Amino acid sequence: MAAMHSDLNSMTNVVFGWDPLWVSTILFVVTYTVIVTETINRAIVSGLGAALMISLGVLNQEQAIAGVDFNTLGLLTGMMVIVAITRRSGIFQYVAIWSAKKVKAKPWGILLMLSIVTATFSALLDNVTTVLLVAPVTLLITEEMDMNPYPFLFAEIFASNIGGAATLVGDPPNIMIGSAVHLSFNDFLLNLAPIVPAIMLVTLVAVYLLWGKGMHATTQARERVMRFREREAISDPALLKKSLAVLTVVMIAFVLAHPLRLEPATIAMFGAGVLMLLNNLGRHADDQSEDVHKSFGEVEWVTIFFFVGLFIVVAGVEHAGVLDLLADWVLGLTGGDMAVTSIAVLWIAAIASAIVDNIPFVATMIPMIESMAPSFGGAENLMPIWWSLALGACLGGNGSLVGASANLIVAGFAERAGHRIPFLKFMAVAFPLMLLSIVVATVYIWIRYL
Amino acid sequence: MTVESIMTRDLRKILPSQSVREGLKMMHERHIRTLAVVDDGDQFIGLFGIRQVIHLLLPKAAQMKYGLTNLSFMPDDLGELYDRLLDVGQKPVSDFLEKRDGLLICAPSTPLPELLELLHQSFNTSLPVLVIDGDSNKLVGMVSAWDVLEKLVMNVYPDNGGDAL
Repeated sequence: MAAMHSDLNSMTNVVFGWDPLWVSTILFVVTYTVIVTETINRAIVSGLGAALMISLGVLNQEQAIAGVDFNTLGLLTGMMVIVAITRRSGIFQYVAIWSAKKVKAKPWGILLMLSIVTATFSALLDNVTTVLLVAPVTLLITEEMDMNPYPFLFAEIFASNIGGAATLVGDPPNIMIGSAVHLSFNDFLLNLAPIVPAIMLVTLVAVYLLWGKGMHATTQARERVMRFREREAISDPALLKKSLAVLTVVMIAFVLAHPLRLEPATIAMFGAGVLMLLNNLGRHADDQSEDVHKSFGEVEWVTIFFFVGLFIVVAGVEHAGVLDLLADWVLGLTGGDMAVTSIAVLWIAAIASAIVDNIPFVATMIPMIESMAPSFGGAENLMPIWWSLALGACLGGNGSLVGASANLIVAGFAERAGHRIPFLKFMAVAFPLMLLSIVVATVYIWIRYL
Repeated sequence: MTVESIMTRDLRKILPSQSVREGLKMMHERHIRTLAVVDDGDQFIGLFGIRQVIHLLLPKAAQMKYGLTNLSFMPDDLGELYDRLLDVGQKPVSDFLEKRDGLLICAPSTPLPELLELLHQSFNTSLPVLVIDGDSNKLVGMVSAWDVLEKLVMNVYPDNGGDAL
């Protein structure tokens, strides 16, 4: 290992002959600290961190660009475009209202249905988009029924993070892990999706005991929701058909990605391109330009550029050998035991993700875990650790309001509707409930992989 | 020519603590679209106008940023609108005003081209441009596109009143 470090060091060209190990570590720590404090926009921070990694000579530009995982970026961007177009059809409102009416607008039934809808959408789309679509409908329904929206929003936050854990495209940590380790959509479906219903069940039982038992609404209030005409929510039936067709083909392509020899980013960007084409065929050039501009405008560029900077910062510490040293240190603590390492990764990922953004955490953990491969007899033996990381990072997001972007989006909606969610009030219930989900995940990992 | 010569000086003011109901009544009685919200010291805080009435009639989920933009699935329910209005009628106008930060502001000495540009910016909102005196930091007038029509555009026609049109 020491020989490898010196090799790497000799390849870098750090200014003033400074030690790349220290320069990269300091840049990394400062970047992450500023990201955590949230005083400066995270895309600015990661971008400047990346620029300094290159300017100070830890990486050259070529190495920095090689460190950016374009598969992750392409998958995120493609899915964002597809969802941005699909949502205009009104399908998501339709499903939310339909599901509420299906249970005759009984309060607990609505909570249950909206949670399941949120979890399902979150598994197939990104969580932020899902809650952006479901939370306003939830607030409308609870306002019409004169009910406190808090239990509904609480359950939806959990559902979005739990559902997101189920698939490759459900949550950014999964996208990053899948891309780095070349895990397919089916790998996630076969390994993570089976435990997700159990975790949802445990969560919903807890929500029922806490709030569900006491919920009730007058017949009049329920009648108001039953009078909603969900079909009217479909604002563009032609667009609905096109976008559902593309979304279905994209999902099938994810499942068949391996035999098709396609990476997820290719599929997502392909789907985005086809949907934009279908949506613009026969239109005037100016209208096309406006429509494409609008679709690209809805991509969360802040997140995309945050990723770019982050990948480069992590490439810097990886290149300088810092992550190898960290990995050695972790292996020293766990005694190089697979079971101990997996469970430790699961719990540390969960607790870290509850406190800080799980994206930078996972971005750092991936190369660190990769460098543990020789100790466990090769990369193919690392699977239990990858599944632990994915479950920990996704589920951990439930631990506090800042644990995941989706949580903050829901909290923002609640506040604008005059039902502020206090940070500690949420955490007092959410953190223990998140730990409970990690207990379930631990049992699953233990029985299935260890 | 500056803003001072065409602005409306006759401002209708309301205190932030006064109720939405009082505000609506004032606007209705005097046939005006906008009230200036000022504090006890006559310092300008924001505007309350008929735009807010439409806003208040919407369900909360549609009033908010990133909220619902399509309510076609909701049934006609006049009773619900009345309930909502009765409920918000009791609340202070300070809960619903257009805050000063988001408004277009100029000085009495602002030249006309700049004013026209500001009014052009306000087309989407149809809100007036506010005239604030720099020294006292007080609202001294408002200018709307209507003022420009009445006191500027119609001057170019010989009959000076536009009756011929």
